[in-house]
Amino acid sequence: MSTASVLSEIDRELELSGRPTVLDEQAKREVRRAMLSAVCIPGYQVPFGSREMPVARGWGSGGLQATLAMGGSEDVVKVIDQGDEEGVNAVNLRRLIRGTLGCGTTADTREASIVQSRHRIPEDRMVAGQTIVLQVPNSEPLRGVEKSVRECNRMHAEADYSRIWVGMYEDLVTGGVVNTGAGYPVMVNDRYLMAPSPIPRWDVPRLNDSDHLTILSHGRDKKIYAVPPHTPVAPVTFDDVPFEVEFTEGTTCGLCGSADTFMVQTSDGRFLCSDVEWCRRVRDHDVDPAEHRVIAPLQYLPDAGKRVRATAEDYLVDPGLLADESAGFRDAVTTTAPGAEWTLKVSGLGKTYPARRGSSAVVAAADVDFDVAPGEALGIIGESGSGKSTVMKCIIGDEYQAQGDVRLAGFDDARTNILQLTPTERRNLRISALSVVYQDPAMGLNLRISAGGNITERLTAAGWRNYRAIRRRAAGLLDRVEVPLNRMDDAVGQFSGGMRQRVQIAKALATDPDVLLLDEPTTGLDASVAAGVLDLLRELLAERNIAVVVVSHDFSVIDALTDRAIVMHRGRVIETGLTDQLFADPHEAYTQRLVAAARG
Amino acid sequence: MSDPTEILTVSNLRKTFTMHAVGGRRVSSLQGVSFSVGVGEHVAIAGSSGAGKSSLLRCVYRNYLPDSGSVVLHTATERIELTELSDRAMARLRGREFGYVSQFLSAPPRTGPLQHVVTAALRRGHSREESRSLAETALRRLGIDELLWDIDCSVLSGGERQRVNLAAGIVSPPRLLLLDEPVSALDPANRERALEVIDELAHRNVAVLAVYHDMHIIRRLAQRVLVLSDGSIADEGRPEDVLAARHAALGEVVA
Amino acid sequence: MGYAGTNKGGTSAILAAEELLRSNREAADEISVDAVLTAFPAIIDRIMGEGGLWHERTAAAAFIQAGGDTAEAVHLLRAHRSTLPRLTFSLPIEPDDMALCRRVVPAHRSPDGPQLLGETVDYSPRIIRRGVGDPLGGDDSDLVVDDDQIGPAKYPDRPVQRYTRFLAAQGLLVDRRDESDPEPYDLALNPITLPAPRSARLSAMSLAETGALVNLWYRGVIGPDGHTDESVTLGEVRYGRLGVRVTHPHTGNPVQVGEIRATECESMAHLDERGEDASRFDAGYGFAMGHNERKAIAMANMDLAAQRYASGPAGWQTEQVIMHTTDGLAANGFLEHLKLPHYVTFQSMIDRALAARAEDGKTSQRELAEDAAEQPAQDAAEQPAEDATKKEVLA
Repeated sequence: MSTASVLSEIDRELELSGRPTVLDEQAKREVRRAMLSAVCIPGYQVPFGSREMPVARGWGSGGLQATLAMGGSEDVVKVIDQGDEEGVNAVNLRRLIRGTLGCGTTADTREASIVQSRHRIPEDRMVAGQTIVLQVPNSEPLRGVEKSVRECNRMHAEADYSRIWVGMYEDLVTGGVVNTGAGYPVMVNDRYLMAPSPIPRWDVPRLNDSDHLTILSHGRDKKIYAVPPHTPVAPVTFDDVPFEVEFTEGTTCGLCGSADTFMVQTSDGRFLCSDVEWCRRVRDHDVDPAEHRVIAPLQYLPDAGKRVRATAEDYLVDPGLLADESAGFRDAVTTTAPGAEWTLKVSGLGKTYPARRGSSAVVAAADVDFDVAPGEALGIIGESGSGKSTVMKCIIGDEYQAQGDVRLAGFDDARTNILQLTPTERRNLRISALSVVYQDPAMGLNLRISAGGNITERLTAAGWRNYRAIRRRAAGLLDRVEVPLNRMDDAVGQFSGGMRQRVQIAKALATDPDVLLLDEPTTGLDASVAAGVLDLLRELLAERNIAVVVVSHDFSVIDALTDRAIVMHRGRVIETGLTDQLFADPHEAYTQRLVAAARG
Repeated sequence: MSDPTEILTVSNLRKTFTMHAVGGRRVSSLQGVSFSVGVGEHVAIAGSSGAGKSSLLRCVYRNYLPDSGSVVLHTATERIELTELSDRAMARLRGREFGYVSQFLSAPPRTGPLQHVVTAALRRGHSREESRSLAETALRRLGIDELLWDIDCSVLSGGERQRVNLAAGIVSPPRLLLLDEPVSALDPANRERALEVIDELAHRNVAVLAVYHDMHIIRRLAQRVLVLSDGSIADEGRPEDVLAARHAALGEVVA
Repeated sequence: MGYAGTNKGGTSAILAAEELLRSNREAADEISVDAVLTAFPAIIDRIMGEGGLWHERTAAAAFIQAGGDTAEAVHLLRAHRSTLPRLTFSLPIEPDDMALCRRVVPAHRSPDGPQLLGETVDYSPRIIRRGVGDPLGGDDSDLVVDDDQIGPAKYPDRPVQRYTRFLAAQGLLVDRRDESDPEPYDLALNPITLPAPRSARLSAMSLAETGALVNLWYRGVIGPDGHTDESVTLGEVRYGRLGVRVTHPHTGNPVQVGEIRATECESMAHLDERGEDASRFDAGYGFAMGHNERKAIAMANMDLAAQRYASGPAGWQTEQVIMHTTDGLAANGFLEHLKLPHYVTFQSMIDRALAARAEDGKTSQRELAEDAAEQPAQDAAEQPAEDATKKEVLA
C-alpha cells in the first residue's frame, strides 16, 4: 500500500468521524518531516510549507500545525497562553485542537502528552515522552541586529554571531545590564543561535538538558525548530556577566504564597503566579516544593554585586594601569611560509571587469607580483584608477573572481591559494589573519556603536567571551591609538574623522593579525589630523613585527611608512624599488611625474 | 671570495639618468668607477661640483640604482654583491651593516632628535634601553642641547640638523659608514667636535667613505683620497701626494 | 470605439460603459441601505474612516453604488464631502468618555477596569460555515469553565484607567506633550508640509487606507528597511461610542449633536536603543472612526516610530512615508491614471529608444578607436569599411 493511499484512507476516516479537517494528511506529513529535521539539527530553523490556519498568522498558526501534525485522538493536550489555560486564546486553540484531533484535554501538566504554549513553559517539571510546542512570533534571533534575510542566513551558516555579542556589550556599557527581556537568545548545542520564543528569561534555563522535547513553530515565517531532550542550551552572555532571570525583591504569589515561580502583577500591585494551574496545585498541596526549587532558576537571580558596574574600571582614568595590555601586543612571532621569508605572497594577481552596457571591459589589475615579510612595510603607489586599490580588495576579499595566486604563511602553511577559497573562508581569514584599514572609516566600523563595541566585534569573532577582558583589551588598544578613554563608550558616529581612523586602526590590530593592509589610511583627513594618524601608524609598525601593505596615491605616506614600494599604472606594476630610491632615482616617466608632483 | 682586508669593493660602476620630462634627455653621472675601501680605512672623495661624488655614495647605498658595475660589501661572514641584492635584503642591510649620512637630515616628519637617533640604534640591534642610552651619548657627544631632544627636527637649525644626522650615523656604528659632506653646515666649534667624533671611528675599526669639500679635512682625516672628475676617478692616493699633484684641477676648494 | 474614444469626445462610449454596469446589477435583487448597514458594518466603518466623513447611510449608498469596491466607495464619499459646507467645528472629544463596547489590555493580566472581549472574530475558528452550528461540531461545556464572570457589579460605571497612565504614574513613560501643537492640523483644509506636527501625522493616518498602514508597519518589521519592530506591546485596544458636541451658536453652551463609534489604540515600546532612556517606555496613539482595529493598531505603531526617531533621518523618512504615501485616494487614483492615454509621452520615449539603437553601433566603434589608440598598429584601416556596412544595413 502506498503512502498516498494510506493518507487518503485516513482522510476518509476523518471525514466519516464528522470532525472538521483543519490540516489535510499530506500537510501534516510535511510538518512532521520538518519537525524530524528540526530534531536532527537542534536550533536550526527548518523551513516548511506552513498552511493557513483557522487562526490568524501570529495567533499560534505555527504551533497549531505542529500540534495537529503530531497529535492524535489518544493524545492529551494542555493549552496555555501566558501560563494560563483560561485566557481566551488558550481556550480558542484548545477548542480547535480538540475539535480536530478528537483528543483529550487537561489543565494538569502531569497528564499532558503535548503542551501547546504561548510565552511560558509550565512551572512543573516536564518529563521524558512529553512534548512542549511553543508558539513563535519571531523565529529570527538576528533580526534585531540585521534586517537582511540573506545576511541572517549567512550568519547562521557560518555561526558568525559576533554582532549578538556586540549588542550585549553595548547594552552593558550604556546601561550596565543586558536589555533583552523575554525571548532572550540562546545557543543550542554550541552551534545555532536560537530565539526561544518570547518565554521569560525565567524559563530559559528549563530548555537546557531537558527530559522532554521542545518544538518551536513559526507559522507566519514558515519555520520550525526544535530542542531535543538533553541538548545543551545556553543563554548568550559573557563568561563573567551572569545571566539574570526576572525578579522583584520580596514578592510572593498573592494566592499560593510561592516565591519560586514566575509572577505577573495585578492592577492592585499584587503579584500572582503566571502558571495558574501550578498556583492552584500549590494551594491544594498537590506539588513537591523541594523538587520545584531544584528546577526553578534561583541560581540566576540578579546579583548586583556581580553586575559589570560592580567592577571598577580604574584603567579608564589611569591608562598607565593598562601597561600589561600594551605588552600583550605582538613582538616577534609572525609566521613566515616554510623555507621563505614572506608572510604574504601575491603572484600574477589580476582582475578584469567584463564589459557591460554603459561600461567597457576594464583590466583593473594584471600580473601583479610582490611579497611582504614580517616587520616589513611594502608600499603600492599610483594615481586613482591605477589598480592599487583593486589589488588590495582582491587580497582582502572585497573583490572576488580575481586571477592569480595569493598565499598567506599563516593559512595552511601557504599551501593554499586564498583566491580559491569560499567567501566564508575568506571572511574567516579576516578575523585574525588579515586586517584592513580603509580610507573610509564607515567601511571598517559600525558608526552607530561605540568605539569599544567596534573592537568587541573583532574580539568576539575571534572567540573572546570575557566582558572584562574585552574591556581591558579594547581600552588598551584605544589608549595606544590615543583615543581618550572617556570616549570609549561613545558611538563612533560622533567622532571626528581622525578619531574614527584611530578606532579603525585599533580594531584592525585587535587580534594581532599577521598581515595589515592600509588603504589610503590618511586620505581625506585634514593635513594636521592626517599627520597625527601617520605618526601613529609609523610607531605601531615600528613596534610590531607585522607584514604591512600600504596603498596610497601620496608619496609622502609611502615614504613615511615603507621601505620598499611598487609603482602601479593602468593596472600594472611598472617599477619597484626601495622607497627612497624610487623617490630619488625614478626610472619610468610615470614615476618621475609622480615624484615631481609630490615634490610640489 | 671575501677579501678579509677589504670592506667595500666597487668595480666599473656606471650611472646615467634619463629625464623623461625633457624629452628623454640622458645625463651621465658615473662612467665606470672602480675602487675599494679597506677594513677600518678612511677614504675621502674629492672633486668639483657635478663630478659625481654624491652619486657615487648613493649608488653604493642604492639610493640611486646603478646601471651596471659591481658593489661588493664584505661583512664579517660573507661577500655580498649589493647590485644583485633584493630590495628587501638591501633594506635590512642598510643601517645595520653599513650606514649612510646624507648631506641633509631626512628624519621622518614630526620626530625629535632623540627619537631619530634611537631608531638608528634600534636598527643596529640594540634593545630599547640600550638604544636610548647610546643615543643620548651620541647627541651629547655632538653637542645637541638636551632641551632640543624632543623638538621636531624640522625646526632645528641647519647645523643642528647636520649634527643630529651624524649622531644617527655614528651611534653604535656599523663597519662601514658613507658620509656625504657631514660637517659642511657647522660653525668652527661644532665642526671641530664633529671631526673628532668622525676621526674616532677609525679607532673603532669603522671604515669611512666620505665626501668632503674641504681639503684640510681630507688631509686631517683620510688615509686615502679618490679624486672624481666627470664621473671617473681621475686620481687616487695618499692625500698629501694626490692633493698636491691635483692642486690645479681642484682649484677653488683647496684654497 | 472603445479606449481611443475617451479622448475623442467619446461621450457615447462613457455612457455605454455606465449602462453596462447598471444593467448587470439590475439582474440582482435590490439591496437596501439598511440591509448593507446591518450585514456589512465593518466595511461601512472602514469606508467612513478612510473617507473622512461620518454618515453611515451615505457610506452604505456609496458602497452599493461602488459594487462593493472599497476604494471606489471611499472616493465617492470624499467627493461628496467636498460638496458639504463646514458649518461648525466640534469640541474636542475626550476619549476617556467612550462608552466601551470592547476593550483589550494585552500588556496586563488584570488592568484597571474590564478586559472586555465584545464583538470580535479574533477567537473564532476561521472555518467557512455551512449552517448555523459550531463549525467544530463539539460541545465545549466540558472545556475549562470561566470562574470569573464579569458583571456591572464588578466594574463600577466610571472611566477606566488607561494602561499608559498606569505606566506614567510609575514614572516609566516619557512625556510627549507638545505645547507647540495645540490645535489639531486639519488635512482636509490644509496642505501637507514637512516637518509636520504630530497632530498632522495622526490626522493623515486616521484618514489613511487601512491596508497601506498595516503594510507600512509590517514592512518596517520584516522588510529590509523601515523603522518599526515587533517588540511593541499594546496598552489599550478600545472600541466604543463617543458623543460629538458643538458650541451652540446662540447659547454658547456645548450641546451634543450626534454620536460616532471609534477605535482607539495605545502601543508601547521600551526605549532600549543607544541614546535613549532605557528606564522608560514611549507610547504611540491610534484612532480610527468606526470599528477598525487593524488601522488603529497600525497607526499607533507608526506614530510611535515617528515620535521615537523624530530627531533623526529615520524619523524624517517615517514622517514622509506617513504623510505622503498612505492616502488611499491618492495612491489608487495615481495608479489608475496609468489607464489614461499616454501615447504622446510614450511616442517621445520610443524616439529616444530608436536614437539609442542608432547610436549603439557608434558606441562600439568608439571603443574600437580607443583600443586602436592604445595599439596604433591595430586595424586602423578597417573602420571605414565597417561604417559602410552599417549604412547598408540601415538603408
